[in-house]
Amino acid sequence: MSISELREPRRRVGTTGERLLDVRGLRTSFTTRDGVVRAVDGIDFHVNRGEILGLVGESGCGKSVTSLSILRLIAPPGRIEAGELIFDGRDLLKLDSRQMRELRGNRISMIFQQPTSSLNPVFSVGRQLEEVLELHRNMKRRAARDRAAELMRMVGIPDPVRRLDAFPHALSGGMAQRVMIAMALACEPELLIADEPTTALDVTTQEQIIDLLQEMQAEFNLSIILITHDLGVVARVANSILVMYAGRPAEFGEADDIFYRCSHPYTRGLLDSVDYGAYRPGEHLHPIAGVPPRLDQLPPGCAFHPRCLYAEPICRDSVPEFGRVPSGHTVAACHPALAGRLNLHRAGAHASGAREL
Amino acid sequence: MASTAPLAEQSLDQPLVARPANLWRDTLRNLLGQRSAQAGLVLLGVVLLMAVAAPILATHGETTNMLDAGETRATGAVRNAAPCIHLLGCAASKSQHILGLDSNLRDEYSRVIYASRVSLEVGFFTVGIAIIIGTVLGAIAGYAGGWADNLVMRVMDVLLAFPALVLAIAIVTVLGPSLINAQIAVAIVGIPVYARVMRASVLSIRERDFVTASRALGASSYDILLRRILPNALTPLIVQGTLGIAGAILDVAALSFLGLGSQPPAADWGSMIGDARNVVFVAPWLVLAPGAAIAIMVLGFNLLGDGLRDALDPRLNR
Repeated sequence: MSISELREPRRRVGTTGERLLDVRGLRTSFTTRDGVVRAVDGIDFHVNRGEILGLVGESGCGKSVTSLSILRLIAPPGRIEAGELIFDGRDLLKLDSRQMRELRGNRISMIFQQPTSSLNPVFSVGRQLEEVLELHRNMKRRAARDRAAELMRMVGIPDPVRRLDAFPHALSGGMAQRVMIAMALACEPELLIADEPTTALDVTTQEQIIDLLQEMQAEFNLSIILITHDLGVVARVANSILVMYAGRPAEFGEADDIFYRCSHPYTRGLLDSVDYGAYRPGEHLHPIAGVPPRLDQLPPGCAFHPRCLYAEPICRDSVPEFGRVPSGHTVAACHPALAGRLNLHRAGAHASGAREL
Repeated sequence: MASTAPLAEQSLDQPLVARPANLWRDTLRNLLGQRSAQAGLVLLGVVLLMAVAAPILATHGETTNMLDAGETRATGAVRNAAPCIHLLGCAASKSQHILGLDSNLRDEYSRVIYASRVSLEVGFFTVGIAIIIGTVLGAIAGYAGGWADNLVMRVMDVLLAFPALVLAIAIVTVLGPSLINAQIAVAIVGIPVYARVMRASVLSIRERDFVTASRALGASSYDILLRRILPNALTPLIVQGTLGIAGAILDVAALSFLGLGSQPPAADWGSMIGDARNVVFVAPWLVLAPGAAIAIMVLGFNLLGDGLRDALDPRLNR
């Protein structure tokens, strides 16, 4: 089975094509003893209302820093150097800290990789849900408690009223992630950033959480930025995809464009390195050779060139611009991408084992 | 809003909780299961009983001179009189004084009983002040970082650089000798310990995921510090505070022994030892009785503190 078989026609629930978040030229850097490291170096993408954006890339490519930057939760020594974060017509980077605080958890929420440690161990989960409601909705304790129970039921927690008094350590990872989702959605935000929400969970629970996120998205016309390593999940739910490499964007576009007409060698490599069916004799995966570079020791030119199957001398000399390709999506315009010969080349490269995507 | 029905697979994911855990109940259960904590609680129970029931337990007034109470030399009202207990064969003609009389003809036993009130109050007041100030300073230092951290912690280092008692003596010398000033002095000396404990907790807790998570949900710095970090930092503070009470009682007793704390005629274990130090060979009971009382109380707090540390330690808990 290939990735294409996992994709089904997208349910376009309430999609209006209206841009909810427009990230332009975001650049976030961290000052270290050895100098300034750009964890995110000029990325552009946008999220439409009611759509799911999949943000993929290897560890350390800047996915989490991107998401934390959107909420302006980058703590010193990190800082957002440049860019615009246009959320619903306003640049988040121009808001003062109080306005920003009102937005967080209210209009933009975030859930994290480790659900159990994302909950405060000394308070019951009900109390923590109530606090969010008291904070943003000025609800009284009683009303907040009722609403908290309702939210717990909404995210599929059985026996919610009794569970309100449970402490985080008594919950399984899946349950804790449900509680986190309930907290994040308590104030009906427009954008949810899910930073690898299923990484710490076992496989059956992963499915449930992704299903839940999709359900919630449909119900609230929510936009989701889904950060993940799991291309299978992205294939299943994402409307659009941003592929990142070493803090820079490799490719951004509609999910179908990325999966069927990818233009960047790195995207190609990612797609080739996963298989979603049973292993068939004689069929090989094609992992990307090597490891991602350290951000403080980026190779010259295109950061991907030492691992790239298509590398040519020009790749060492210049950093490819991010631009449109004929199919309509944007891509780091390196020579194979521009020439549009990626798929052709690839078919020749792995003639026997190649699968058509 | 319509709520979605729970998924069918839910039962797989359902943890088996009989009833929700309760931090305080768990802690209490753990505490009561420990020998040392049990012993500490018994000892402190004795002291607490002394303090609460002092008027009932005491045979005489705290500051009553026995001559004023109608006794005479003939009934045994002499300076540093030895204990006279009728049950143990003391002549019936003499009036009964379980621990004898001190040099001012006051009943030593009654004074020891009454003085437990002073020591308890001293312990809680002193540590209370030190914890409040130390926690605030430590929280600011740990949370703000940068120059604020440096400023606060360097001042704390200076305080720590002095031997505690010497610094306390210096402070009392400036403020003037009295029980309250002795307590203030000991509290000031105690601040750095709590500031350091709090700062360390804040530094580690502020990096925890749930702090980032609540910030992502819109909590302000104030909320984070007070409602996320402080409750999680309470454990080491409670333990340190309990152990600190013992130290504070000892320090104030030492100041009183030197005449810089509790002033006559008030009963206080430290000053009682100090007053009787010249007659330690003539009337050792005058030194031993308040000394034993101090030891019991300090031991009680130390045992309880150790027990609390174990009871509150999550690594031993579950």
